[in-house]
Amino acid sequence: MNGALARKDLVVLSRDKLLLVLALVTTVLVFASVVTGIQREGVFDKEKSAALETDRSVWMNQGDRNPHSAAHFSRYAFRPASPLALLDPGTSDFAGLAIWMEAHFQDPAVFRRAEDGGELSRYVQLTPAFLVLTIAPLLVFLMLADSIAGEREDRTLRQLLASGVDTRQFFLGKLSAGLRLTLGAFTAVFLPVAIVSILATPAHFSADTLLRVALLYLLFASYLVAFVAMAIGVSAVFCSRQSAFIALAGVWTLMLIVVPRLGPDAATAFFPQPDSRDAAVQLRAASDTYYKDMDRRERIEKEVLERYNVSTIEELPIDYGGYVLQVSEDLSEPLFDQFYAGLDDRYGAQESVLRSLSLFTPSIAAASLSRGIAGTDRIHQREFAQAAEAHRREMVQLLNEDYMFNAGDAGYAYTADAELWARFEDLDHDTPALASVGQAYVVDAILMLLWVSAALAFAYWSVRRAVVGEEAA
Amino acid sequence: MISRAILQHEYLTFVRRGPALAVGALLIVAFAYAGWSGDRWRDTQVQNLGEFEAQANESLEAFRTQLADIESGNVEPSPYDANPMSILIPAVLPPASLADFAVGHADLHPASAELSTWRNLSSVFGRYQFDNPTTLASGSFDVAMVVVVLMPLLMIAVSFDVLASERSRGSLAMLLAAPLELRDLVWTRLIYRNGFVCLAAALAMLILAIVNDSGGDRFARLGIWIGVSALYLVFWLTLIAYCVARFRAATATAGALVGIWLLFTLALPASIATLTEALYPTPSRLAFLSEIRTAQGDTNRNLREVTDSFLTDHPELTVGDEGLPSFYRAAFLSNQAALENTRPIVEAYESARAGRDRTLRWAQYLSPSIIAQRLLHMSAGADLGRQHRFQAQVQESLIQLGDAIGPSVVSRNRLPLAKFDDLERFTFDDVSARGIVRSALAPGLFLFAAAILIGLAANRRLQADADGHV
Repeated sequence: MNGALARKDLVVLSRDKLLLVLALVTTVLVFASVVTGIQREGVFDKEKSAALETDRSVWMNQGDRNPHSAAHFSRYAFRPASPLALLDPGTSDFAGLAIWMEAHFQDPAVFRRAEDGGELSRYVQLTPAFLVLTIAPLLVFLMLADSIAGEREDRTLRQLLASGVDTRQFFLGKLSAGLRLTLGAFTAVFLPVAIVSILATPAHFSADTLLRVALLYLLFASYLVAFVAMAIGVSAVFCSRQSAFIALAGVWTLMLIVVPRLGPDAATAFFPQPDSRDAAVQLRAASDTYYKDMDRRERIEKEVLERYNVSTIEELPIDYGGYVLQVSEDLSEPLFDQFYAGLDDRYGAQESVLRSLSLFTPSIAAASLSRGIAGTDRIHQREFAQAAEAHRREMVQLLNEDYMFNAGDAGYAYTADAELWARFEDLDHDTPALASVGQAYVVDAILMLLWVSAALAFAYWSVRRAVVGEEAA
Repeated sequence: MISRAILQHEYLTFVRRGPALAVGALLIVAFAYAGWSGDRWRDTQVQNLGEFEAQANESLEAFRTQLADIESGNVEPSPYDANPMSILIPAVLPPASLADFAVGHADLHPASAELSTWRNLSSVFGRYQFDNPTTLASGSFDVAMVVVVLMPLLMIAVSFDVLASERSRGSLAMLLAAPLELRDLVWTRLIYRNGFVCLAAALAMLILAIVNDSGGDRFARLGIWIGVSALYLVFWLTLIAYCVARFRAATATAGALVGIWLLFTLALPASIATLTEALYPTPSRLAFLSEIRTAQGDTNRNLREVTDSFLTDHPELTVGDEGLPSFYRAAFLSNQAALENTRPIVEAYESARAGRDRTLRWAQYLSPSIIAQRLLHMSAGADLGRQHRFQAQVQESLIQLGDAIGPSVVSRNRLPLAKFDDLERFTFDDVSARGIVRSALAPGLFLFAAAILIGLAANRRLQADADGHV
């Protein structure tokens, strides 16, 4: 019986012209966003390769130079492109894409692509993830607003009940029609988009990419299931199409337009964004920790003289200038770690405030999971920054030690050549495997599951209430 | 008499039954939250920028005192004292007087710069990218968002069923048998309901403007803001009237209006943004970085030749204290070379921005939401153009500073006190409220004309509908 009910609903829904037009426009927008995404990411890939090539060439051709002077000039690390940025660019445009690996400093990532956006870029971004997470639920609501309210308004629900349909069959029939149409349309759009995304970035293809695509599909599908259930549940609450429509439009506006925008302001009110000048001062202080502490400088000098059993710096078998450069790095590193860990904690706290709004909408958890799976969130950015910093420390130490052990009497006049520069390699960092960062998304995944379960339970409860009401009448 | 009866009916069904209170409460909460958030953001900006400016000015004053002491022969200077490379002039982009109404692009771009010859175009704004990308990407809930995105939805919610109950009950013909024009009935109801919504919004904005007053030309900007908001909302009112007249069923009216809202506020802005960015791509920031690195690398490698060339171009210079380390000179010259080498890229940036701006000036007429958003951001000083003007003025000032103190740096001399006093301090040259009015004139008139035309079309349809009933 529920199969017949579902078939009837499918026929009625497929005749809705307004809905058909909206669905077609959305599909066109999805494909348009993929095409522009391919072009965008392709250009970025080329730019990154060219910049890496130039950086390497400038570094290698800097001529003979003091290693510490070279460490100041240093090299840049470039963020790897995420293979699924086409589907969800996430926060990647709002995070820097290059890090200067200079001596004495752990720099933040610079050059945020969002700064190159146009006047409307902060208003809304046309991406497949935006269309699925924001627009698709509206289409679902428009499609299913009269699913049960219409039956009640036209009094056909009573006829159905009189013909022996029970609550479970009625609920499953309605749910099945909504799910078949929604997931069918979604799958028909998602599959080609996913294939095109993978084909467009063959260099990044891996088993991890496939896993990420499959998880994105699961996430989006379960997100839509939640909205189908919500639509049926709300529709069952009302006796008229009009009221159901208004209620669902209100739910959509609050859940997908208002609440997600309330979060950032609340988050930064509780945990303010760091003041950039203040952050720069803290980093400068960390960098200067050796140079500003005269007692420590004297103590270190004394220790070195004792270790080498000499009485003056000039008698040391190493260059003392090179030695203290590395000491200053060693002293600054824990302070840099502390600063960036504090920053990371603050970001985490801000995101917890955002997450707390998941009580009112599934879109926050879904968006967080989507960008995490796509590899375009802050966690992936942090992995890149940490890899760049580890590389910086290794390379600066290499340059300082060369200076320390090879300068001899030349002191600061000592120069190294391309043989040393060649040992400062490109940063080898790729998007980490999802399994290695997966723990960060457990809470959001649980929240999503809760939302899907709650939406289904609400839909069943609401349908049952409507059926009981009709039977009583 | 009839109008009075309609108003009484509206009072009973709209105000007393609760929809008006619900909408009013929602509006108050939305404006209060947006106002609080905007005010907090502006205050933080003002405080941070003020501290930065005060600190930098203090250092400048200390530099001047040291320079004056050296010139007067009171102290025996080391080569490092009062070195012209140590001059750092602060440049700040102060939040506009209505900044609490819209954040726009202001939270993404730098609002301060350190004008110093240690800096080039990639470093003049300092390390400013410390914000959480997650919160940054989500955007802000500001007053502009309430007006552009939420207000039309609320208007649709309170208006789409103005004729629905009469039509569904079949009592419209009976109602029209009275000496009452259908269009009078529709317009009276629409104006009553939306007047309530719009007046509540105007009042909320006025209260925010007074409570968060920060002086300056705030009320002139507020006037523009209210004017643009009014035109935008009148446009939506006429569009709602047209859809009410065009569609018989309330759900069809609501569906069409939500579809149009979706098109105007989300789909078209997103598509136009994507299109303009694809048509006028900005040059790669990484290419910009590469140019700077190449210029710096070349200068460092050929420092002696570059210095000689500079001194040959300035035969009036006599070389001063050779005890100063060469990296001062190297830093200055490599930054000058970087400025020179990146000039074509900077020009390409400007050209891309001009192209986007030109396209958007035309494309905005496709969506009233784009017009409203642009003009509201302009009024609040949250538009992208303001950020670009600040960046261009900083660039100009950096070049001027290099020209003024460069000869002293390369020749290893101190800057004479008189020349130091002549150095220009940075003041941002903002667009006046009158300038914003000029920019708003054409799109504002367009909105007005579109509203009139759609209103007339709605009237014609309502008249035809009424004739049908008669």
